[in-house]
Amino acid sequence: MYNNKYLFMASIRRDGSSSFGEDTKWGLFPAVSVGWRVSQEDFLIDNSVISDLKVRASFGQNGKNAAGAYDHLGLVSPTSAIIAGQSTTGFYPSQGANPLLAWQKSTEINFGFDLGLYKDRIFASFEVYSKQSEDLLLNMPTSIITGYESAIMNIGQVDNKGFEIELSSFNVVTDNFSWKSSATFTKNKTTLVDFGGADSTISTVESKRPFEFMAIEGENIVNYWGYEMEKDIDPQYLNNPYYPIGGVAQDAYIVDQNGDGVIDDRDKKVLGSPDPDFVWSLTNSFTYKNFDLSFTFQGSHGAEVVNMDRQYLENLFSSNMDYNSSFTDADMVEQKIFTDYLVQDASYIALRTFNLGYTLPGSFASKFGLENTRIYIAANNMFYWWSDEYTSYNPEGNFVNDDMTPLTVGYQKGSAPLAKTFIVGLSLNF
Amino acid sequence: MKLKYIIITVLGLAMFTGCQDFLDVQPISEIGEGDFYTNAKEVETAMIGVYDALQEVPKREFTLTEMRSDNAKTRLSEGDWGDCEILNIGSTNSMVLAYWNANYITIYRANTVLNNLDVVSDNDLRSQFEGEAKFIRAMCHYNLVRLYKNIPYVDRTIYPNEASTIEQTPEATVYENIVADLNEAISLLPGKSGIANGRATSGAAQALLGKVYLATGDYSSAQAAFSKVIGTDYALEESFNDVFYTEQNDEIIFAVQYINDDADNSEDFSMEFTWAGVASGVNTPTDDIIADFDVADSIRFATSFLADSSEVGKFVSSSSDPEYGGNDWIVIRYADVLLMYVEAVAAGGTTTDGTAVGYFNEVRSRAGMPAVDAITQEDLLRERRLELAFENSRWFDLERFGVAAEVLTAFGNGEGGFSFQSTDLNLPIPQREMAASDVFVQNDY
Repeated sequence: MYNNKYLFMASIRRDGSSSFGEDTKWGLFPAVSVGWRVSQEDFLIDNSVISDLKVRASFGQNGKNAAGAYDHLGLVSPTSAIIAGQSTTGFYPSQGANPLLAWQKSTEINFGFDLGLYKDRIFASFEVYSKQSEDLLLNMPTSIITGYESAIMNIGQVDNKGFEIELSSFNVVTDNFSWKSSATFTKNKTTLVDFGGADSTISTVESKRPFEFMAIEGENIVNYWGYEMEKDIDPQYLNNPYYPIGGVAQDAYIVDQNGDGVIDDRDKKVLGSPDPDFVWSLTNSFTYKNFDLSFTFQGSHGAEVVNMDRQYLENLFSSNMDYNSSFTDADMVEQKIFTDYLVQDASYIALRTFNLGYTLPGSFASKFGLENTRIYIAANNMFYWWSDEYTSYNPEGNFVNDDMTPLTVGYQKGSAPLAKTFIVGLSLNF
Repeated sequence: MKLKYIIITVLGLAMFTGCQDFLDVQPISEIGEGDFYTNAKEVETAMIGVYDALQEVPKREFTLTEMRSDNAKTRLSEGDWGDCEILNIGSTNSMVLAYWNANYITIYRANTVLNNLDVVSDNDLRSQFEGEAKFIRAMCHYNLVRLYKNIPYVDRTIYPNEASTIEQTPEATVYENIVADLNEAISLLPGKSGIANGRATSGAAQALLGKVYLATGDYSSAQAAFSKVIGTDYALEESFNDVFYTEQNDEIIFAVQYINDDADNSEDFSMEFTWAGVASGVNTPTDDIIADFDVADSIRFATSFLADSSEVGKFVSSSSDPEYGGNDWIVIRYADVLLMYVEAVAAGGTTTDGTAVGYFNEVRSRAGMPAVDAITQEDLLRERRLELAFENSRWFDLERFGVAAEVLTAFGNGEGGFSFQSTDLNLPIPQREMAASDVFVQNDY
């Protein structure tokens, strides 16, 4: 800091981890930041409108450690084989060595400013950022010629670019009443820049219902991949179109994207992605005498999910809904669970928190030896609006199993429905 | 300089140069490779690990061999199994991947043994391990190249970072390397009496070498290789049925061993050959093969089929859990070698060679069939079909005799119910491998 106007900070760190190979254990990560408090300059110091103005920029690198302590080492495990009719103990290599395994590196450049107006009654903060993550530590499918179907590797590059705006304002400040508002708006774009030479990689989550997720270079990391549904099969070709009640046919006609008259892998396309276009929040806080009230709205717009719940809620698998033997277009249909039928808009607006309280007057509290007593009602997700298109119970829900990876975000099956909570509370301070 | 700055500088330097050794950990809860392969005993257990991997190889082999041929079909034409039977095998077919994976995992483990031979100080033992690993490496590459044609030949450990850049090896080079490995195995390995039953022997390597030569059309080398096996450690079992139901008999040159009811060491092909299998009967005999047996061929017929000839009779398991069968998979047996010797002598034509005709009649006589004086290509192909039914030989026999297209076209138009195309002779490289590689070229399948 110089003259209370110019800020400068630099650091360098060297991190070592046993997870990585002999020559790749150590990573060197520098960071630099600079700031200029413009409002301290002579030409602004007496300004009646601008009370604070700071311009700042930073550059920094850091490293992400691997998940396991022995990830770079080869491991062996016991097994057995039959020799001369007898079970005989042996050992086999159960994890391959990867002496080149190294830190996942990210480099971030930020630029922003903070602006305070009217003695900081109104405060605004703006930041643009660009973050490059390289040598990502991903458990990637590898050719079996390595001896393994997958390996943890440093692979690829992901870019995050975006901006954040934060605004806050003391709208009213009097002895008895105050009103404060704050809002945020964030827009982020994630791009898979490089995927270790592969143009794309397909991942699935469940082998029985292998809906595909495709990571594509130059696009989002997660893209839902599959067929575009054209139309339903005429009910006359279904075994029993009226049972089970509420049931839906398993198959549907598919758009022949390449027009070759055959429905196959080549007719698949990107059906959506779990990345929202933007997210925002708005918080208002009021106090009136001993009452206080605050509530926060949050919104997310443009994200999509793969809603496998449809398979169950709509009985997509019921054989009654299979096409019958008089159906002649079997080559033109595919199961709906491999189509955009499952891809739904997951945008929402939530009244995320709501908090209403009353603090007992100090004179009353002190009679009982209390410093402070507050009675309150709090609620989460009291109101929640989601898109008409969405047919399950929690647009923010995510399926969890061992096959889930960062490449398979947005898959929903049997997620817990959205929880609304109401709390009535009393807080006592002695 | 103030003391404060000195301390900071010293601390800073300490941080940059300080202890590095404490990060060179060896796993505590698991066995690290760095601590393993330190002596002959450990390398031996690693060799057992190779045989363990080899147990996976025969499990789905029949889907890509017998079921594609005119020998076997499925009962329900379901899924990937059904696609094998009608030669409509896509690159995502799970059998195509399972067989590829099983062979490459075995090759990887064999290479791991070969990388760690230095710690074995006993010369005989080191030769034995090297011979075993090379024999199995050669066998797995041969399994792969004869089905997938364009495969990467792998004779070292490949790290994940480089895997996507490894190219397929020209077919001829793969065969040269297989021959080289087998020749080394022959000189390194003991005979049958010098090693536990079930492990590789010089005789097994010799027999496989002959088979590989035969596949490449090198008849004279094949004949030379087979003559070194014939009349040595091996002989025909007296009873045809005993070949399959008296394990480790004299006719077995190499088999992958299993035991009953052991989750780690049992096989499931026995179950799949019957209607009890997961798809209710795959590798079910075709009418075509049933009709090919003469009435007089009753000995082999009785063993090859169950009573109503609707199910395969070889490899029927006696396990209590049908999923965990214990029947050894016969990779190569003496009768096969005798017939291959005849094939090498006939060299694509008809033979009346005394030795060859003698071996041929030996095989027939065990089956209760009359002797012959001359053997045509047709005789030989049919004899192999009847003798080696459901032993995963038919597909390769059809290819080697140059009649695959002709036989499969006729079969497809009839019982098979498919229309044969020449590309049906090729298998696709598994899609998973194509996606993981930057340089693999897909077969025209």
